[in-house]
Amino acid sequence: MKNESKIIIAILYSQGLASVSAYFSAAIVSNMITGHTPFFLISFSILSLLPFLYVKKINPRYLLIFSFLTFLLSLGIMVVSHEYIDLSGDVMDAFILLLISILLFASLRDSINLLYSGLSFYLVGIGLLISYSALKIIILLADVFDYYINCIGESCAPYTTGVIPAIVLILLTFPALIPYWHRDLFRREAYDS
Amino acid sequence: MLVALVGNPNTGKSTVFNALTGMRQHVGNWPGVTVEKKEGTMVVDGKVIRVVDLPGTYSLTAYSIEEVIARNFIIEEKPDVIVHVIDASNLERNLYLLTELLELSPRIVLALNMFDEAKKRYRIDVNKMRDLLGLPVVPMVAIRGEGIDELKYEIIHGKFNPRRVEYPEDIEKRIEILSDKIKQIGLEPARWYAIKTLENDADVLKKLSGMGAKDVLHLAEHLRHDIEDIFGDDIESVMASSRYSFAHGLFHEVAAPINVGGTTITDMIDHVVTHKYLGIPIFIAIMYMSFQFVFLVAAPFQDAIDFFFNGKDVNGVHINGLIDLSYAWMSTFMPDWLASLINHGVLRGLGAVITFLPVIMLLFLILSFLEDSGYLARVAFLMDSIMKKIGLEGRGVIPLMLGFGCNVPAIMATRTLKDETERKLSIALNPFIPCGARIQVFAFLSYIFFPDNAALVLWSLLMLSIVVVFLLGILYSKTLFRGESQPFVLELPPYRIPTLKGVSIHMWEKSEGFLKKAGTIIVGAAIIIWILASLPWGVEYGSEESYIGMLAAVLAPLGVLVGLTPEAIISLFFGFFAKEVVIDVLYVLYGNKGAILASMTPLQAYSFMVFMLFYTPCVATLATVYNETRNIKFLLFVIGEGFLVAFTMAFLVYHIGSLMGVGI
Amino acid sequence: MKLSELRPGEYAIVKDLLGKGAIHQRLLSMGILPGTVIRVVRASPFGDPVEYEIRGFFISLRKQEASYVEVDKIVPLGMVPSGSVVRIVLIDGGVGFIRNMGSMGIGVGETVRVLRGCCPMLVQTSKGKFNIGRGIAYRIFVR
Repeated sequence: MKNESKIIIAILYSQGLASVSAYFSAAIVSNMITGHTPFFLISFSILSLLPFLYVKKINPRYLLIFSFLTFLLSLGIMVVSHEYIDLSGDVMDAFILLLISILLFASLRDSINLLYSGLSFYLVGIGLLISYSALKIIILLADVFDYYINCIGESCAPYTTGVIPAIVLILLTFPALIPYWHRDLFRREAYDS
Repeated sequence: MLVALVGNPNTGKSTVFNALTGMRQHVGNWPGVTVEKKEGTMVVDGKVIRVVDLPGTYSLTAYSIEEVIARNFIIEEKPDVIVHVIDASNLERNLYLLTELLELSPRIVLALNMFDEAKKRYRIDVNKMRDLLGLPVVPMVAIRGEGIDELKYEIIHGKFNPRRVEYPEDIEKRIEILSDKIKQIGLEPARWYAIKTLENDADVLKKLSGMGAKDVLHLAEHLRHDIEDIFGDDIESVMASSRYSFAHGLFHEVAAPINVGGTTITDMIDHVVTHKYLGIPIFIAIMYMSFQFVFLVAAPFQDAIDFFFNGKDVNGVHINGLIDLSYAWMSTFMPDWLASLINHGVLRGLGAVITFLPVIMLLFLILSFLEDSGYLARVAFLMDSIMKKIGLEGRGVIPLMLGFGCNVPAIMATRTLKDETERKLSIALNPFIPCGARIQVFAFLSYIFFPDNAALVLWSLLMLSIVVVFLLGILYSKTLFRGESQPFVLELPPYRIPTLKGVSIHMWEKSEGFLKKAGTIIVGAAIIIWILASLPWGVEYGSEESYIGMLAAVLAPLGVLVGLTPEAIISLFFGFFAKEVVIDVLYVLYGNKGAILASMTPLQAYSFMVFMLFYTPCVATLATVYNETRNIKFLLFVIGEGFLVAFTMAFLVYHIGSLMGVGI
Repeated sequence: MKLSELRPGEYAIVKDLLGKGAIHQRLLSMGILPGTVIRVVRASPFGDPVEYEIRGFFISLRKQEASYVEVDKIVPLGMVPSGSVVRIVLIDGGVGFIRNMGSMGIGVGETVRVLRGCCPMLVQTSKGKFNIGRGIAYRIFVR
């Protein structure tokens, strides 16, 4: 497949990632306030269809099918998350996840035109996503460690935790790295004017 | 043999230094200032060579401490070889410093660092550069260790036959005249002194008038006016232009730019992280993540250390820690007071010091990561207009934010501020930021006294501290800490991936410094507290009959003014050792939660918390303040300002509250 | 005009440095001298300080410091729209580069007509029509 097409697919895919991130953010806030996550929040998956607003710019057009696949994927993830993922967190978790999704959504318009101004938001968004997820996983490990240290000399129940959003996010991120490897295919805005 | 490392900031100078010296280095301060001095040794061909890393500078004028330190070192210590570390991808500006160095010493080795990056921008003809300059030139990539052996070779065997930096003839003539005069009064290097005298260099002029060389000064004045008349510009511009045209000419002789299309990664990242609306949120996210990393990852290690030393209680049964075991063992063969002093004084103090270690190591891991990657410079760029109001540059926000975690590493982090005055101002403000331990105490007390509004009370205390820091910052920066309005010219270097070696050396340096220096002071303070709490003979530890109790009784009338009970004062004494102890002491003194609640009105409790928010920081923080500034007067100032602000604020809270009849 | 009055994306050439003492000297040692080309890169979120590019590296200056720098606004040839006639005021490069440009009729003081905008651009000089790549078009400055 042509590298340009790979980039476009990765960008279409990233919008699914952004919608999942936005969903986690909203879910954490609602969990914080009401103690549960309303099911209707899975409608956030519609956000992954954002590329349809820029139909004319996507070339070749048939790649849009990947946007639809992304939508199905993110919908699936959200439904599963709703049941099996531990969506607790604090305001700052929600804030960072929201920021990541904003960066990825903001990158769309220019990045599907293969412009640097889009790639910049894209890279910072993905970078932040990876750092945040990695951090959360490290903290989880430290928590487990801490739990057992505080247990020395006591008889404690084994540490229990649900699957945290960070694990889902970091696994989903890898395909989105493609544009970084092919960043030389991007160009400046003024190039073809 | 003595080697000095000189170069612009952000050229990888410390990477070169680390590559040369490895772990054989130590960090201190230059005498009288808080500028860091790094020194180490390297062994080449069996010879031990001393290496000194001079502060990073763009030039060698008399306008900043770093520049004066660097040039005085070269003049006074006469290093056998100067290694000028150059960022090869930024050749022209780096060569400007070379023009100044050449006036000081001919024995210069040029280390063209980051040569790999430079090759993407120019074709650099190293041989031509060597010939044109008459100096050894070593291309290198210090982070990968490339070129280090060649650099060592040139330091020992290099041939120095440098080309002189020629000024226009009208200036050269006058430099000759003046340097002849200066030779007569015995100053060396005469040409450098002549140039600096012409340039109106404050330090050199002072030195000359100190020597009574009036005629030289008169002559210089005369010559300077001539030059300014001829060139129609001020002397500094004329001289700088001449030097730059040397650098510019040399640069274009040896480097041919390669046209590369595309935008750099740095430009792309900056486009977003300094974005008008997203820049600040990204900054907040990054800071929050760094914060979480440091304090949450350190937690298990701190708990483990605490358990190791102090043991713990499980369902009313005490599990012995090192202190208990060693105390029991020592009591068998030495008097009880001595065993208690060694274990409850010294060993407990040592335990407290080591507990700080995980936080300090992780914090400097993150901080040097942020600094080496280049993001810290962007923080300075983002936050400058806010921080300027309290007399700090943008980077000043970092120590203040870190203070909410722990003041000790926060104060150590003030080193990121380049300006001496700003660094002191930042240290003076930092203790007013409530650290994690204080926040913990506030949370606890709030839940006892204000069960319904605990969060609000806690939040009001945090806001109060921010307001006080802001107001004091404005006040201090206009009065006590008024800098000589240092220009804030900040370089935004390209983003780089930090190396593990650089980051871990930095982390190690900081932890070692803290352990050795601050550690001693903390252990000392632990002993003093122990003595005060255990004497006179036979009293219960920390009770009202002990010296601490007596001291509290003396201070009670003052305490009444702000609503503090004698027990509260005793707990504050112990809080001086470590803030989290305050709760334990209150428990010991009152027995249970109900008694604590009954001992104070809510207003008194709030006033107590306000007092604790601002009064002297814990001993570890003070030890760090001293360690960073090496200035006992400044240390006393920090203690004094704390009590003054604490007393004033608590007084206001208590009396305004009483007048309004709130919480009595 | 003052450097602080320029907007992001604009270029200027330094005319004079005002001010005395530390600020003056610091600007000089960073290479801000009469004749230096400066590009305004971007402003920080609160509008102050502003990032500038000089001699291939990036620095940030507060508004107050930038106001010490007197500049003339210039435009890189690469930003000139097609159809305009412009006068070259500065060529940023070494002796060899200036000589090469001179052989195409591109020298300081010469007038050129832009036949096609960047990039690659086509210009009409006294010595004929020439194609100019982006890298070069941004090192020739016109007014």
